Amino acid sequence: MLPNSLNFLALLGAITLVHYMLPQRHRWWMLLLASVWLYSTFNSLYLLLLAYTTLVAWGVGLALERERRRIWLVLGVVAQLAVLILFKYADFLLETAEPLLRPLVAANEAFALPRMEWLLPVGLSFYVFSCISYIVDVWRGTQKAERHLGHLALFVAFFPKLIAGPIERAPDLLPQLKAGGTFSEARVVLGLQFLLWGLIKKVVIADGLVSFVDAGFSMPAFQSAVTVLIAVYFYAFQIYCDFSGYSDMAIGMAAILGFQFRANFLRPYMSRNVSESWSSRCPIPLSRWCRAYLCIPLGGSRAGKLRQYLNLMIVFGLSGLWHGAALTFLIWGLLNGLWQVIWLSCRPVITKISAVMPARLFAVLSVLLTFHLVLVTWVFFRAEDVATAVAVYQRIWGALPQMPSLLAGYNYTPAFWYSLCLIVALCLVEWLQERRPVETWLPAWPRAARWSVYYAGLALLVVTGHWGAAEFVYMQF
Amino acid sequence: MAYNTALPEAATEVERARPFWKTALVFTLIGLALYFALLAIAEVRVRATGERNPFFQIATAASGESDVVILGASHAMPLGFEGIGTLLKERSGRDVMVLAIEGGGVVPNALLLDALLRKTEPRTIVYALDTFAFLAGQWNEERLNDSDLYARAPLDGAIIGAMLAEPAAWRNLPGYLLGFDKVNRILNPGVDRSEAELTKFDRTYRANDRIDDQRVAYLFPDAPVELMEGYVERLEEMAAKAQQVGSEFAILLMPAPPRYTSRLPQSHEAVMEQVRRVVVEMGLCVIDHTGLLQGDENYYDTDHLNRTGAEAYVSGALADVLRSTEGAGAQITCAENR
Repeated sequence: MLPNSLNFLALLGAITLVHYMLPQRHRWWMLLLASVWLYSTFNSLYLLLLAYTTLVAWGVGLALERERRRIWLVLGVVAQLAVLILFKYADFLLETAEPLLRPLVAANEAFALPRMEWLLPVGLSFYVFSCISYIVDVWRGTQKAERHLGHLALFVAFFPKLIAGPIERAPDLLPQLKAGGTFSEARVVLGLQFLLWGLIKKVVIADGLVSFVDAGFSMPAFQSAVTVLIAVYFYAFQIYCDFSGYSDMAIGMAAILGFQFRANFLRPYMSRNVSESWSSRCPIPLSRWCRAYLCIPLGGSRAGKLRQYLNLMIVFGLSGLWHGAALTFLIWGLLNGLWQVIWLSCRPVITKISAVMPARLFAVLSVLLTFHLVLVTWVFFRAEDVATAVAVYQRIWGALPQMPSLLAGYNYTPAFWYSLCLIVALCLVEWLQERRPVETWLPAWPRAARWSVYYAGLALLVVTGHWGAAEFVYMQF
Repeated sequence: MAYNTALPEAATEVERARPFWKTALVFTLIGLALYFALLAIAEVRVRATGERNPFFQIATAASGESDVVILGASHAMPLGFEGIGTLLKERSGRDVMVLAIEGGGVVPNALLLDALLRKTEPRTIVYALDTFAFLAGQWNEERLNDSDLYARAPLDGAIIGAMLAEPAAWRNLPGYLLGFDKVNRILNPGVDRSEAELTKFDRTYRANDRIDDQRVAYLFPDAPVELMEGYVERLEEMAAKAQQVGSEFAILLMPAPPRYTSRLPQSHEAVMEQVRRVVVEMGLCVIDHTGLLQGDENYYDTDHLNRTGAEAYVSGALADVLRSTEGAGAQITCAENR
């Protein structure tokens, strides 16, 4: 059951009621049951994987507490990664290996490796990463091994974060879940605000942009250059609203139930450089995860510049593959790594430029440049394959000299203008948030004004929302 | 990194100010009032812009006696398309209501018939039979789960009654009563015509073996016998219900091109065998027009009549059949099929 469906929202209301009616010490099992049941609505067989990853994390955690031996850590991590590799990467690896092995194994052209063709379980990467982080935290001593299997199972399967994150770390979330969540009127209101804003981002903005994006990315060589250009720009907002919309909903759902998740996105398109974008703006828990469990073990920035750059490329390459087992995702990750390396190596020059330019102008130019660097990478993220991504670039690049006249003569539909207005409104809200977060000033407004904002948001959802329950893009990761 | 649901000062002050449940209740009540105001506007718009939607036609049908009603799936839909419905009325001299719906198997048609019979008593009910619709749940119970089906359905007692009587429709009853899909389209209700009528009806199909094969394979999956028998029973119930209120219930086999009929698998014949049993047991009439209009110029795709085909059909064979029932007590002339 998708969180952007009316049935789910009705169920969330019921779960919340039962949650607060139960004594705090009994809430964990109700939340666990609800989480497991909701996950089973996608495919009940997925539960086996969820159970496996949880049991491995629980067992290895206890073993590590009994004797802190590296072998347990390695076994635990490998056992978790094995699931990921088997379900997510097996076919990709087989596909990649096939042409390499063909000349070695046989001269026969018909040589083909078998394919698993298993359905990728929803949210697999998210809960496998949660389990790995738990194991590593126990190994490092930053988290005590959880003896209560039910509590750990809830940490792994907690429904607001199960299918598309954010990847919460055990030291942050586990104690809250064990405590059962405390009712706070103000937090429930904040949670509802997050839920509403997340739904608007997903159901109104992201899903409204889908048709434009699909049109531009489907056979781009045969589309008009403006259609492709619109698709590229709109995709940047579709993916952002889709993922951050889900994150806001997850944060909101957790808050309604009395728990706190860490911020996942902090207006990434307002970043002034690519490093800021990844290190502190989006998606924060994943970046923290990569820094804590990949970058630092690789040596981080302690082993010289070259090693630091290499580490960055490795981490971003892996981050790309985490998103999907395809060359397009790998290129997307490597491009992001490359921007980071270029930025780090050019930082002294950029600092000099900033010193001679008006601060505001420099800030605006930096934000625009960073946004467009990210935009270039998104093409690979969205394209079906590398050839399609290249076709998108070629179509835009080839028409660049005529672009002003093409833009002027393009047949813009009312739906386009409406979507553009929504994007402008989104940017305006983000800009306001950047200056002063809404939660710091909205509660002080008179009730009539505050409620008008809420009702307007609800009306937008009800009247213009795309309620066909389209999947969240990040669910496939 | 901070939590962004950490409580700011201003929020905690609000918390202390008044009891939460009262505020929540007032907020909800105002929200519901606003929602129902929107629903009222949406309802008016649905009634003002309705055309083809079968639920709209039922809700706005005059109570008492009516004339001819055609039920079925997408093959029968062209009989009500622009220009065709009027032509059929002119040539047959009968007042014809076409309630066929895209992908509508026996179960959705039974629901429509039930709703219709709660409102009016048609003299003749023609069920355009599609054998594929007896072979999969997607055309039957699952079709009732499509919220689009109710997006243009006006709120009406007869429809509520029919949905209550049909267990497969219960899941959608709250959505229908709350009219969420109507409110969701309040700004952009569109035209109440199918995509086929708007974009395909004037086309002519260019025969393609691969497409024909794919179409037949899609429509006729391997289906368990019990499933088919269950849907044949529903057909039997529909006929019995119609006969109970004194309506004549006839089965129409629409024209179909030979390149389509020749590809129909064994499951088609299996359904026909069961249907023939029902026809004999209940004394129904079968109007078999399968062999008419064999040329591809009469179809907009593999098996649906285009404007040329529909015009020829409604001004010829179908008009003749319906005209024969004009006058009190007259029945469709199809004695040889009984």
